[in-house]
Amino acid sequence: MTVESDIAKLAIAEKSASDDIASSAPVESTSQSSQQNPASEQQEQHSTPPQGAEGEEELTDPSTLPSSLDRLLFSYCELLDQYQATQDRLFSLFSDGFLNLAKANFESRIRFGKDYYHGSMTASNILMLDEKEFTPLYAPETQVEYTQLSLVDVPLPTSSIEDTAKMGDAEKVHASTRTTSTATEEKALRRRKAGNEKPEVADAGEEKLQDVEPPAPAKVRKSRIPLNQDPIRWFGVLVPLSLRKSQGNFTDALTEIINLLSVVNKLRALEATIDHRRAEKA
Amino acid sequence: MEGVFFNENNGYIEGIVRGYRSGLLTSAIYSNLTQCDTLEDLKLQLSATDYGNFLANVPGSLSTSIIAEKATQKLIEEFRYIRAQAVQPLSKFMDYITYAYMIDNVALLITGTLHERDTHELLERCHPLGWFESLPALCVATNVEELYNTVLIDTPLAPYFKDCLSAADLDDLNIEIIRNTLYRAYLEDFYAFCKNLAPPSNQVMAALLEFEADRRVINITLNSFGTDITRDERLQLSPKFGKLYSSGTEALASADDIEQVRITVESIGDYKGFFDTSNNKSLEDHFYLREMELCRNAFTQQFTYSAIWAWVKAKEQEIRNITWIAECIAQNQKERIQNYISVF
Repeated sequence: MTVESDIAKLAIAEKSASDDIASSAPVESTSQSSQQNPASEQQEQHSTPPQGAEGEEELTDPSTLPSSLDRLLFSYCELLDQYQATQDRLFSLFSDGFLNLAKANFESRIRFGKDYYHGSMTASNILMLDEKEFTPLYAPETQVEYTQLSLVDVPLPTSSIEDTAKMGDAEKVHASTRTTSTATEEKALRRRKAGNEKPEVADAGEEKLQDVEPPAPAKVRKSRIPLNQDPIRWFGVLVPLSLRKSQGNFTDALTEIINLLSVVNKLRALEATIDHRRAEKA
Repeated sequence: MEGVFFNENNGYIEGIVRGYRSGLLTSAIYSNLTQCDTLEDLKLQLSATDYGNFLANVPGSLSTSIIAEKATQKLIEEFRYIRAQAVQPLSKFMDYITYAYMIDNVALLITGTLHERDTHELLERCHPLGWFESLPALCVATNVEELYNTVLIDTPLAPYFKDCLSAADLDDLNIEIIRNTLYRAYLEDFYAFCKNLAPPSNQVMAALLEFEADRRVINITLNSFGTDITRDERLQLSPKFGKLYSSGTEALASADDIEQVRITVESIGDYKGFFDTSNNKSLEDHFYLREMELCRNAFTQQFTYSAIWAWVKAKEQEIRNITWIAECIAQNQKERIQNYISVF
């Protein structure tokens, strides 16, 4: 009996607290106030019932709540938690990225910066916006529409796939079969003989200044990404480990930004749904 | 006997260099710098040192790259002053120091051409100590041969090209190989030059340059994992002197992971403990610390040219330290701020 009356008390307490959450409009400010509201709510829940542990266990499954509005509000809180966790990850990735960049500058002769940028750099990722639906965690009967953001890698030039197939051949390959690379890249691409390295060294010695005309048959490069799309190579081939780590941090941060924005869109959509429901109820 | 005639031509210069050396930042000053909260505080603290008002005329707000640039400019002015007073063979010695910056500038401009950048904009970013007359003409070269025949043949870097002449085009891998081959040839040439100096310059410089060579080999090996650099190329980029030459460099050329590198390097007694990464110290930190210890010890010898080399290296390290402290302040990363190298 005591347990049921406690549950009733707490359901009322939540409803009034959740009204507070839903009433403040922009998402960014709600994140601050709702941080405090659920926290204070939790404290109330711990202090009021004499059988604290049992009371908690009953309440940790929001999907059993009868009111769909309550369940939607719980799902909103869940999303807010996700938002904060993503933000934390994003902040730590950015701070690690900048710190590793500072470390790379500390360790090397040259300063890694805009002096080495490619003049015709192109994007390596494309942002896609899709209209999708998601189901709130505790309210599986509802479908909410939102705009999802996702990242897609820019496709590599198709001729690169044919080139890798020819790797074993010792025949001379013409410098450029790529359609999308820049003019400089076409001139600069050269291939050296695959296979034994000893004859390659001997060849390099012989052809010093004598036969100029064709570039010697070359070994195929491991990396197929064109230079203007591969930022780490702008700083040389032998780059310090810290710079690579920094790049890794920033690419991960990009993914987290996209996740963050998707969560923000979900929050906004869910907020609209909740407002709609509340208006219906009233 | 070596001291008797040294001062005739080089006494004033050594005096000036020792004056500069005594103005290097000490650990007490560094700990003051680490307690600054903003870059403006840092500027204030630095104004009490030999740096003085070097940041006085900065328009807009301070940034770490501006601090690094202005500090480097101060080093360049001091170097030029000394170079202007020097006569042979000290002037040749100081020219050797500038060849390293010339190689960096050549690499910057050729990379800029490959990256379709405007060379005039990049010319302003070149290191002033590495300036030579035909530097602006580098943008016309599209392959190594042209580079050599049209541009570099009249420069001091010409003799360093003999191992990398080929009809190959200039792509990023080749530029890296050329840059490192040039640097290797330069180090070997400088080493040979130093061996012919009067003692104790020859011994002190030999020790300093051997360390530099070993460090380059280790860095090239570690950075080449996962890239297209082959075993033979790695060997080609390793200087033919130093404690790791020749069995160590052969072993490092065939190494595939950091463990093998560690085993090879730790077989040299002096380099034991370099791979110890406790206290947030990376391998590079150990290298810089050893280099600074060698430089500090180099100052204990009088009547040598090595004081100038040691001063230049110590000053560059100081600039890196100040930049690091500035970055940590700007990024609010106070826990990592102690990672600078200070031996004075």
